[in-house]
Amino acid sequence: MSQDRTIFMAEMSVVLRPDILRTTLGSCVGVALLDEHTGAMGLAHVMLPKADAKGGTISTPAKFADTAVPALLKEMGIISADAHRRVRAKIAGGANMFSKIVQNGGILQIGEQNIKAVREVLAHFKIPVVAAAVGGSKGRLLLLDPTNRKTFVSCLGDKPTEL
Amino acid sequence: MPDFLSSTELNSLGVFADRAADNCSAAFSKWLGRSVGVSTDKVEVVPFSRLIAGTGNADESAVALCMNVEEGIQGTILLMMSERDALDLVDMLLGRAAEAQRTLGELERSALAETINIVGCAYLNSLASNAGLRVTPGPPVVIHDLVQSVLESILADQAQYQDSAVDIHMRFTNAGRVLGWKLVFLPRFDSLKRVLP
Repeated sequence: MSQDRTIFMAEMSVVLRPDILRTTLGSCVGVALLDEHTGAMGLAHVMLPKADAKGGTISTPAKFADTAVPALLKEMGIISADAHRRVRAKIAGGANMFSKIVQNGGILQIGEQNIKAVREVLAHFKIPVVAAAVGGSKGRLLLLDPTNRKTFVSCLGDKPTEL
Repeated sequence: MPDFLSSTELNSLGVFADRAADNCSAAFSKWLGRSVGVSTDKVEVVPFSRLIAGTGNADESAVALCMNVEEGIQGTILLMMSERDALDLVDMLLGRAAEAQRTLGELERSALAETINIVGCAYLNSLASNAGLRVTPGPPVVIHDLVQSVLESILADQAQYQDSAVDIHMRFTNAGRVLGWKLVFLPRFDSLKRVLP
């Protein structure tokens, strides 16, 4: 029997078929990694670009783009040097939900910064981003289904489409 | 529970929150032209993930009336409700027949924005007055989207400084009936300390 697991802010998880992972995103970015060797899929719900924005120890590595990707690779049992050979990434989220009131690069425009940071970290590990649904002003639902190795995304009122 | 607030501070906050709820109730009743009770449902420090779970199903849609506060007490106050409840509220505010208008157009959004302006300021000014402060709210915003999408976009600001949120939930009643609205104030810990003894 399959489990449908929801990932909340600053959390991450890895699943094999027949389980399903899902998360709901606003300004956060969902980083979905597929291990093409095992079929495992991992998901991190990234809230902020860099861990050093807060300082101190990192008890929730999935919270930051720069710590989420290596932590998720570790959780998937993949060493960094192998990542570019077997891992593909899809990303979603990074919306600016408060576009009408936020100006001058304020923190509530964090979505764009999250997208940029996630792309940079994935590039650092040479992990290709094969699909993305990012930016805009609407929240998104992201669903990972390792059974068919597919990822789906939808906005409020829309039908899920394959990412 | 994280030790950002001592149990004494949390109790004091509860007392202040009750007073603020009374103030909010008076302002809301005047704005609506009918008696609406506002009372504190809970005051607690919760991890972000628990806050989402306590505010509604993450995947459900909601209409969120939000207002950011930059001076006095920093944080965000938001009134969340279903789209149907939001439209019912608009009908009440505009004196229209029930279900006369079933879409959130500019007029409806404007009425809802003014609602959080009035309700939010009444609540926050009461809270801030305990320390002789006065809040300076930003412009109100009305968003119709997924519950978690809205909350996490607000919490991204606080996530720079903390891993948990002070969650102050208020409950609304009208003629003995509990309304499905949720007024949530998410202050930043550091600014909240300024109003606590």
